[in-house]
Amino acid sequence: MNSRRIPLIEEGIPAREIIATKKFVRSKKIMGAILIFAILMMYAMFLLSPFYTIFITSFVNQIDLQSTNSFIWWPRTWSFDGFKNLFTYSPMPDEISVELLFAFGNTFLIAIITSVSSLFFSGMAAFAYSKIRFKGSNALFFVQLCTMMIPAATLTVPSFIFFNQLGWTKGELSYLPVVLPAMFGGATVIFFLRSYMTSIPDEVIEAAKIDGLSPFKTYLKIIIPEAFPAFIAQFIFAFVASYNSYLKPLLYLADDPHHYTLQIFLQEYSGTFKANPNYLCSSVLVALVPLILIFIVTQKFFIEGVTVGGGKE
Amino acid sequence: MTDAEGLVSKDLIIPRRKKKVSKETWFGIIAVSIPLLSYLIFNFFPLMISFALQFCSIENSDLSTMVWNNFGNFKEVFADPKFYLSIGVTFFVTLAQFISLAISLFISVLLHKKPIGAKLFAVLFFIPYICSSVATAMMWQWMFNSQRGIINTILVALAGEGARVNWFSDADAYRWTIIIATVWAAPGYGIVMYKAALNAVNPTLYEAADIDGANSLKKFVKITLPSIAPTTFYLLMTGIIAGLQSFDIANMFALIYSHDTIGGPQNAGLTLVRYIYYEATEGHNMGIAAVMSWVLFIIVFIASFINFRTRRKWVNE
Repeated sequence: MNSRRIPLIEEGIPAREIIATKKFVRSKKIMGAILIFAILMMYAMFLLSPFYTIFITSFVNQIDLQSTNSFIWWPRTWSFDGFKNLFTYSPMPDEISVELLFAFGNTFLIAIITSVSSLFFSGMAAFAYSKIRFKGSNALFFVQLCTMMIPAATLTVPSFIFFNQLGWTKGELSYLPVVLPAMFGGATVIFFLRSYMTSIPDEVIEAAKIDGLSPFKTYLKIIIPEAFPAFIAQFIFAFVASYNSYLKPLLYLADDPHHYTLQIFLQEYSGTFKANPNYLCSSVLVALVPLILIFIVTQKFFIEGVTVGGGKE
Repeated sequence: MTDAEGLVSKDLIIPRRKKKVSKETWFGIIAVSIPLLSYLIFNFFPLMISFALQFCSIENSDLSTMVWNNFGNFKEVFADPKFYLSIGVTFFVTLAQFISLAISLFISVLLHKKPIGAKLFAVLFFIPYICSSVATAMMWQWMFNSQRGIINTILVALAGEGARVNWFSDADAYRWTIIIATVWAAPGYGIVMYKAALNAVNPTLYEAADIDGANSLKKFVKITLPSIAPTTFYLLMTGIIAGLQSFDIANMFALIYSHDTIGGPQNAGLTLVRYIYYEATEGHNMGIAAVMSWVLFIIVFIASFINFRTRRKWVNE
């Protein structure tokens, strides 16, 4: 480890002293490592504490919860009431429907449609910006980048007024304001895919041209497969963002329980069952598990997608 | 830029290009236009409507009833103490982003020293960031529960019944619940970004410093910090921009409190976006919401603009 220090012997320093110094350095290093590990463990415990509390409370029964004035660290008996209620709950008493399934269905449908479609169009634009030379391309790219500077939250209410005028805030049409604007690609994704695509050699595209492929077919058959890792990274990222999005579904999809996304369902459910912490905790647990599983399986791609541009909505 | 060079050489090598240009150009223009048109229709056009709406009164959110109202909306907004309060709250909540930045720098430096379990820690530390803000708010609502929450239970066990804090009814405590919940979720992003930045620091700089006999604090201040400065700046600006748009947790907590205010006790958690949302939906004051949206727009735009301009200095293109 400290091989560089060995020449000290030639400088006439007694061997015993060197060994002592080495020991001191090593013990100092070990102490440092322990300290670092301890700090990281403490931080990990802070991060995990909410998961621990909701996990435990999910399994505590209502009577135990009401009989004490402090947090229950471990269930006396494991109760599944919270989950039973969650998987049978329907806000419409005359209907046999499980609200949670609607919420999951809507969320996955919206997330998949918007992520796939927006990736397709972003990729096409990125291909045009990186590999096709036409007049005004640079100027348009600059305009596209400028859209990144307009903060999303400031557009929410203006869009709401606009969609309200179109009559798209009621009934089945209210899916449109959530889905449509998110379908045709956005600046950060284009930016990311474009920088990835510039690394595809021009010869590949020239060869496709010689084979008589149209630009659109070149995009489908050459570019998408070549840039697939970048597409996957952005897909996962877009999917998670859509799964978690709150403000837009809240504006448009919160009127009809059949339209709820998972986040709106959680909010409404937490309002309905304010007095039942075990119900609340199990709903949060069930909502988080799919996403955390997706993350653990795809973490490599996911972190790649985050490192290059993008953030929470 | 090498663009001009490429243009010349390509045209020289493939003179037949002229023929095919039109088809390719058409594809290029269409491909590039789709996202731009979508932005124009769904975002820019509404933004322009809301610009006009600032100067008008409107009934039942119906744009055909728009009538010039002689700056009535502005007068109302700028005479509204809640509006100034909400700007203050917004800036206060943005504090969470600074705390998160400091935490992510500290943690990523520790992770960079390759302790035991570094990989596992890195995955773990990112998980809060992917949790939805609704779930985050609900988890912390339960953590902060004044009767049976884990935090008060610990406080009471350590310091007696007097240490119990009414997190959701005391205005000062309420402010901090929002900050703490945000700080729990946010640093994951910064940690990932810093991790990449720390790995990219030129190792020869450290070797040179070793020869000069610099200690580790000096190395950190003189080498590490300047090398990762672009990342710090980027995180700082995106953090400020995100902080100024804080809504989700503030909104969830406000719904939990739900008394006579719209933003928690004494409106201590009334962020500007929460206030705008309230005016546009429950309040049905589109004109007021439009004015406040534009105020927010200007504040955030200034921050974004600084980010965008300085970004070019350090993004290698």
